[in-house]
Amino acid sequence: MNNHPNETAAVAASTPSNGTALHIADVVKRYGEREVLKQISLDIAPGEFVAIVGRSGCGKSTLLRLIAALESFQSGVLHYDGEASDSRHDTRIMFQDSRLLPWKRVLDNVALGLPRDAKDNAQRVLGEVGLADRGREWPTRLSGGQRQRVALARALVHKPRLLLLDEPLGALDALTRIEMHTLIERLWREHGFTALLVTHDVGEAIALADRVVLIDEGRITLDLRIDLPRPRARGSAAFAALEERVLAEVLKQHGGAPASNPQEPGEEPGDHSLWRTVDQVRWAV
Amino acid sequence: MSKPSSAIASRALPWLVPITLLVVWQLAANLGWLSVRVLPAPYNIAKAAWTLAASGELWTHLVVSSRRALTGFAIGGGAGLLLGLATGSFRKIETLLDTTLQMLRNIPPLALIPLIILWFGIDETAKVFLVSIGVFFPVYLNTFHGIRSVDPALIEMAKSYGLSGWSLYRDVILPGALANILVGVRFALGFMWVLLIVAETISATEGIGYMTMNAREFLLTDIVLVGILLYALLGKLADVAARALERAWLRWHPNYQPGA
Repeated sequence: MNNHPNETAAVAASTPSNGTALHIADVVKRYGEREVLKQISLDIAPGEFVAIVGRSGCGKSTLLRLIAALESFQSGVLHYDGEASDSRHDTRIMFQDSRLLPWKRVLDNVALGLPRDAKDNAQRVLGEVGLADRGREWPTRLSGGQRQRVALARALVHKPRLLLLDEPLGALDALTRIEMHTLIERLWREHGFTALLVTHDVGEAIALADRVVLIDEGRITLDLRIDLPRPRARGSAAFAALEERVLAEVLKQHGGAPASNPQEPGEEPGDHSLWRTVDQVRWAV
Repeated sequence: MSKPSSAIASRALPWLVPITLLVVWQLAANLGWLSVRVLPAPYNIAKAAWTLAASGELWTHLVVSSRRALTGFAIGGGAGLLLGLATGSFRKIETLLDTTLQMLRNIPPLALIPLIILWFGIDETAKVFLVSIGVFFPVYLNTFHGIRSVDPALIEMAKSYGLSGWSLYRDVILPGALANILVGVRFALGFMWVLLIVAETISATEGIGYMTMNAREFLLTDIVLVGILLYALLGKLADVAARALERAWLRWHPNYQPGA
């Protein structure tokens, strides 16, 4: 807990037990000869919402899969609440595709892995994501956004203390994404779990996260605290400035555009030509 | 598309050709173009079938044949399913058995007939054995393939949601393989009748095959045709049953949903 000791303590005090504290130190992951993660160190406080951004192939999804224990790593330390393994199994992951079982009805999908008598619980959580009346449907009958809401309910029904989101909104249209942002933010505030969101959309990261972490070629190159009040208005100048700053950082590393001095949050977005670059790049990153 | 009339038309359309053929056939027989020896008229065949049914003879043969077919299917299909599940689920068992089974698969079951007669003689066991061998491979291969083609992403998800062992098998792997298994079952059901016909034609004292072979000796072409049509009917029935299973078990599948 080197990075933000004070904040860790503060957040931990306000939500004592709902979120997992993550401690990642010098984690190295290799596929054969290729080093995908090069000594990643990151501390996440209980109940914190952290977004990891970066270009495709930068290693951000790999990091998430390590934390979900879906993959192993070669060296380093990964602690959940100070323990080496997630012994209570209260980590849940949401994937880019919903991964609903097509042969189970929506409600049974939500109740996956629960004891048989937990149907009421599943129904209640399905209501929380606004799909209370769709429990009897087959998943193939739902839209992409609805499927992801079911996947979210399936994760939340286990009362996870750490929710990992692996670009869960990547395949959705812009309007549905904004709805999902609101939903995820609301549920995160109500349940108090720690959330770790991997995304390539810088705007999405800034809209949701307490902290935005940029990974580039297996290294953390930016760790930015987002202090905007919630709910966050995407149109605000402060929002735009932050977005611009993160994007400038991404661009700087790849020489995609001249590194015009990244602006401090709170400043007005100035240079109009840079704005256009930023707008174009947002979908390319 | 105007709804009711076009719906009736599209239902009737597949029957247009067979009914026309039937009418032409009957006319040809009535006009004396066809010898009754070669091809009796549909009416005569129906009459022969009615006589056989009324005397109870038809049912005896039908029951005997169906029992042979279904016993063989249960043994061969059951073994194929179990071995397919085993080799599909466990790499070790696959390495142990799959090469052998793939070699055996290349032997046409009908080529085994002389050997089967040597082993089991010409009684019931031989017929059931031949059917079992024949239905084993379609079920085995499709089950194996079905288990192997379950989406690994779904298995990964289920494991990360705490499923393992039997619950993983029941909730994810088996349902994921079911569509393929049912394809194997349909193939096997079709093949089942083919093998039974051959087995019953070789030697039998009961069954539809016996009935037709016996009728051949007495030049009763109409009864031979009753036997042939009966096989066609039974084959169709098996296919309908398999489709009904698909519709019931694959309700979730977009291809089997009404209006999809």
